[in-house]
Amino acid sequence: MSHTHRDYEPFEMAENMEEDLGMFEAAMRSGPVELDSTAVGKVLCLAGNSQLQSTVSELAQAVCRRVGTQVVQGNTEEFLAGVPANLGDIGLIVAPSPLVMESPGAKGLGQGVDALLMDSPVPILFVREAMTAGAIENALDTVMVAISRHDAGAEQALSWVFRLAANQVILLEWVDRHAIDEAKRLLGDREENQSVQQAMIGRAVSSELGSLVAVSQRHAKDKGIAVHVEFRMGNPLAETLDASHAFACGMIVLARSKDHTSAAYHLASDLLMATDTPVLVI
Amino acid sequence: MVVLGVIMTITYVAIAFDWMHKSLAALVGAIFCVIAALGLGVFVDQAGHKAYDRAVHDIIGHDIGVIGVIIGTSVLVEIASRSGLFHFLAVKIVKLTKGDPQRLLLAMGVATMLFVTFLTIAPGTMIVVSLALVVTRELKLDPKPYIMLIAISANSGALMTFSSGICTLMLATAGNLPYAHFFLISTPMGILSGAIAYFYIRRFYRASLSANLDPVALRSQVEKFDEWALVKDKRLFYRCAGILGATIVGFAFSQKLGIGTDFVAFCGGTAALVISGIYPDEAIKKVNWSLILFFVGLFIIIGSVQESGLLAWQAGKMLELAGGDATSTMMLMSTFVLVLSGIMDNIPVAATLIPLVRSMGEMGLDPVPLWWALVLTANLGGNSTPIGSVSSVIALNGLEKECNTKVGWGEFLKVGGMILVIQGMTVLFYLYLFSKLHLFPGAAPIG
Repeated sequence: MSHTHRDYEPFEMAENMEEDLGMFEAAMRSGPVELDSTAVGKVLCLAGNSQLQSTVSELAQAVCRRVGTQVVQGNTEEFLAGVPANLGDIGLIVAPSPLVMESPGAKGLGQGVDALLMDSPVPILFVREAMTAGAIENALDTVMVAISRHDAGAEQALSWVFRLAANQVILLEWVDRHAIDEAKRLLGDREENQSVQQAMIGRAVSSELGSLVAVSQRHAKDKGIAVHVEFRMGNPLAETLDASHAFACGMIVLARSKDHTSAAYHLASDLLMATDTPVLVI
Repeated sequence: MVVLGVIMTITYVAIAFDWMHKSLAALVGAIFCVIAALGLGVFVDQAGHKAYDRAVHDIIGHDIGVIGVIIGTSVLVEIASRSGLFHFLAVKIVKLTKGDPQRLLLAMGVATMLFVTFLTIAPGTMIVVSLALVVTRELKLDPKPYIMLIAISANSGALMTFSSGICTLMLATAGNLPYAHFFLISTPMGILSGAIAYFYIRRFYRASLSANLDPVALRSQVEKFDEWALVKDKRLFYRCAGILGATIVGFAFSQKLGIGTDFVAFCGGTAALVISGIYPDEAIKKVNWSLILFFVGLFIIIGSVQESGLLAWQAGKMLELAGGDATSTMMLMSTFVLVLSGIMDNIPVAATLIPLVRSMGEMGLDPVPLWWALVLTANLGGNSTPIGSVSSVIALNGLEKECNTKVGWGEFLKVGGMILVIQGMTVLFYLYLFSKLHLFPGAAPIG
């Protein structure tokens, strides 16, 4: 389709209108969402004998102070053998996740972390790097949650964010640009203005995630903290890392997916290898 | 004089009939004007040498204030919009209507005028048009009456303050019209013209507005709208609201402080960039560069034609036609602008008449009433046709794209054209009254 000047009138209208339409659709279609604010069970600390032992313990303590629960020490060896299906009154696991050499030249998460990601019945807070006392103290200051769709996992992730965040929540809405480009390549792409396509995708995301934005703002108002909503389209890992640095996030929260082929699963495992920020996987 | 006049006319026709993108038309016209002016010896200095610098740079420099305001306010409005709270306010307004179609129509009109007042015509119109398209779809209402009211009442919103519309800003800057005087002359006419549009559209589309709809169902649906889904960053909004307010106050006091409105706008835009933390390139790329280049081209064309003496000649002819009487000149010019602004973009119309009014001032006529007449008629004149104003183009484009509904020239003329007839008679009478009773503040005293 050849562009005529009419397609551009009046001056960059189409892209801006897609954004506005998406925002209003989010408001009109926003359904009631209740975040889970029930008390969290005990926090299981799997410090073991790792180099991150002190950081894991102190972060677990910090989380306990924040959510009003207590720490119990866990048996790391037991978890390496297999994650128990029933953890009793445990509501959260805090574990180290250093990179390990899985094969010569190839770093990976390690069998234990993989098992936790796949089998843990409760959320896991992975500690990636040793942190100073000051950094641990500030870890809950700004918490970022990365969401790509509105599902039960996203609501759970958001619930945890509001339990933990002391000052600011970053709600990162992400869309995998590469998946879209690949689909377009396979299905055939209409010749269309790139920025309008991005705006159309942004509109669809706004519309889908509007309820989560609404409930976030309400909770933020009640708790006296700030919420910033950020939309990113591109490589999910790169965008999440970039946003995390841009907003100086002390913790990243993700909804877990047990589907090995899903973008969400890949984001969780890739992020655990790439970031030095603690990652809470719900 | 003739050659430059022909180039200007062809450029304006190209813009009016959409032969090419208007910025491109303006730039091409500008290039031809400069070539012709240099070749014909229009751009010469006192020694008779060709003086491109003196002429062209002077022309742009003289009008750079408007360009500065566009840049500064674009950045500020873009950042303020990102926080989502103008959208929040818009949904709040809709919820007050409880889904009643007639109250919703009034709400859309009020929202349009409010948002255009503070955000200028294009961004303000875009927000309310998007709102109307989504709300009417959700409530299964006919979008046409709402879109038509938004398209037309936006031009009334552009009258409300000094900086509410590009055309208003351009004329107010050229005429050095004090900010406060807008509340005495332009704002009342803005409200009155908005009311005319509302009542006419309510009557014209009464069948759609009183269709057999279940009010309980509508009310319940509207109550489910969640305005909090729109808020991206509350802290950012409050800060931007503060800066927006400060910028408006800055505009109001800029003349007293001896600074240009462009400086105020730059300060506002820069402050917004600093406090928002947004990557500057993101906001800066949203500045309407196409519009700015359109202005540059336009100013060069008009400046070149003015240097040739054509506009001064035209001013003299207009004065002659009006018998040299100030009120008659004002009424004649107002009628001319009301008609012409419907056919083509009101910005080139207003821009061309600026040097004309200045020339009339040099010929002894008090320019103050003429400036006000231009402000009122250049904005309202765009109501008569679907292409007469940027708000109509935005609104009708959105309606066609989202709802697959076209408003043809026939229907628009029946609505907008008639509204303009009523508004036109009202504004002419208003101006006549102001002139005869010497109510224009700042006008030359009698005798």
